[in-house]
Amino acid sequence: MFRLLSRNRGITSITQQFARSAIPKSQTVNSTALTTLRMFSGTAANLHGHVHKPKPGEELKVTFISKDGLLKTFEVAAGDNLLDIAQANNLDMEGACGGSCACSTCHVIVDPEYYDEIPEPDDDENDMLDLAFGLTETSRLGCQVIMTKELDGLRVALPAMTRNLQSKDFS
Amino acid sequence: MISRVFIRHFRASLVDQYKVAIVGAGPAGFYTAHHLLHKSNGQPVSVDFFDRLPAPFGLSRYGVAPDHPEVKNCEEYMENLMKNDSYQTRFFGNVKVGRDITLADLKEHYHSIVLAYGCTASDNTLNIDGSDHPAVIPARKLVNWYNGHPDASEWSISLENVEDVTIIGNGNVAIDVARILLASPEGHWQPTDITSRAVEVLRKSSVKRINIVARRGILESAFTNKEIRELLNISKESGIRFVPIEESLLAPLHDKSKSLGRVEKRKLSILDKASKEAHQIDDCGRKQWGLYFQLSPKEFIANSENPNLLSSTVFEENELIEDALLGKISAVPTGKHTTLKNELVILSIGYKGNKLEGLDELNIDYNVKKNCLSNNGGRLLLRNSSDEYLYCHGWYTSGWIKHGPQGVIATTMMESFDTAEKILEDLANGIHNEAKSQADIVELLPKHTVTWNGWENIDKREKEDGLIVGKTREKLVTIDALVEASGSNHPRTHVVTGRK
Repeated sequence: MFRLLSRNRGITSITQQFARSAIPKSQTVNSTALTTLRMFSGTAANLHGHVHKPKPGEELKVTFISKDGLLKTFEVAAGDNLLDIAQANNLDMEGACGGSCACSTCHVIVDPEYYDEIPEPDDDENDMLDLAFGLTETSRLGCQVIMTKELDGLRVALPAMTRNLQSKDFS
Repeated sequence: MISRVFIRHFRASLVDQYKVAIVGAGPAGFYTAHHLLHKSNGQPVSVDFFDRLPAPFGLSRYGVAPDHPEVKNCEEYMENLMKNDSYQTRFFGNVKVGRDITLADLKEHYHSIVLAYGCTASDNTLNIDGSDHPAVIPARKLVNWYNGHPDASEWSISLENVEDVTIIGNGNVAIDVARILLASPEGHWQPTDITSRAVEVLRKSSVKRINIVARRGILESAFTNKEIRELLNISKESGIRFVPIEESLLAPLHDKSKSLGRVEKRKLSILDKASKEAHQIDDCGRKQWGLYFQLSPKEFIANSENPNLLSSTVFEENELIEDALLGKISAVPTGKHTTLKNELVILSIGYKGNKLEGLDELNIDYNVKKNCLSNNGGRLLLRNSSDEYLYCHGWYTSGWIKHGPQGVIATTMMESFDTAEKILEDLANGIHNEAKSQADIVELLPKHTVTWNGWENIDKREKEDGLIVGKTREKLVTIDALVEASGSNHPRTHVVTGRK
């Protein structure tokens, strides 16, 4: 559904498709302030939208529960995040910012049984969760939840985004 | 009666392609299109975008700050539509409703029309002495200027004799403006897609201090936690001092903290920590900025030596009164006054929308007070309808002109999906314009129309120009330059060969 892009990974990311790739390094690395701003995207330089095939015997199970209550379980590889997994399987999860922790559209509600197995959200993720609709105690951004062995069997629910909740909650 | 129902269904089944026009190719427009095209479940839909500017993307291109490129990733949604659904989508830039085509024209050619033209036509104003002084400028003008908006191509500003700046309002736009004035022109701004002329002005800036002033209290601040945290971090890294918030304003909130919601609690903790740390840093002539609360501007005092500058602003202090029943906080003037030195004032107090030409003729209602089109869930309402739910069939709205000039891209996305749902519902039930015209709208479009191919040419050119000077892009800032770079092949030449 989405083209592979890494431009959201910050000003020093390089891709064939963008002119930026040819900017001499000396000009882009100048801005320490700017690259520090990109801290939150300094983690694994995954091209967003790309999921890996799990090695046989190392498959992890994750279940998504849609707004209509339908359960869909997938076998995934460790290291993939929930947004990429959802989009690779055509689930109804949007990623307006392309998975760079700069919006709240990939908001998921994590099964409380598994919530503590996920490393705590950092300030950047929490700032984005502030704006998520239908926020709960176990809410996380899908793009920041990375599958690990500890999360085998994870269940997450896609929040029901009701009309009233949106307009009032925002103001 | 029965025969009319029969005819309506019959007519509905004669439509082999529902044509939708979207006025405005910003996030609201393209999210509505995205949902329409991907959720139409068998109802064949095609979308034509009309934008008064040659470049698409609306506020994503012209509002979002140059140092927030990840937010602009949303533009992928539109790029994908134009690429992957190319037989169902077209873009017509530099086409102004009223001047080039009319709403009546659209009604003749399209089954459904979405008005998503935004709400940044003008600004809220303060009617106080000095409001019309040249050194009192609306934030929108500054944002348009540094983002290369064609409306600001003739506008200029000098910061050479400006030491203190007061920003009135504390929403995210105010924080963007503060960041523009404080962060390093060379290290922080130069490599972004900010216009080069803005970098030039910032390089020569003498600005030493920024006051961000709000009418109400700390908990009512309009900025989001992300933005304030970002500004505080930049300050820390660049040796810019954050002036601690007045203790008398912070202290009373500590008692309230248990009852605060998540966002307020986090906001308070960020500001508390920053103020505490700030007390430990001395004010040794470095750049500084501070947040001021419960102050309403009363008069802008002109500079006696330089008519282009102010010397100060007089504020009246407010106290906060809470309505126990409604939970609403009001700022009530106390009669006490305070003066802040400033050579320049930037007003960031909200935008105003406008009525598109032709709405009256269609009897579509515009709500001046709320700054938006009257609608119910995205379906436009007729004027003077005693019944609140009298719809103007086939007409819809998305984005800021639907619910007022507030909200981030994520909000707009949800709202736009909602409007798209209503359109699909209506199409399934045969509710739409007749779209009698047999001709393609391109017959009516002017020579200077910019197609998607044209935009791709502009995009390529801007990136190439940017490369030369080490920027992600160098925006073309006038309509003429944009049209010239587009190569402007009239869309009519594409009608026979293909949808672009």
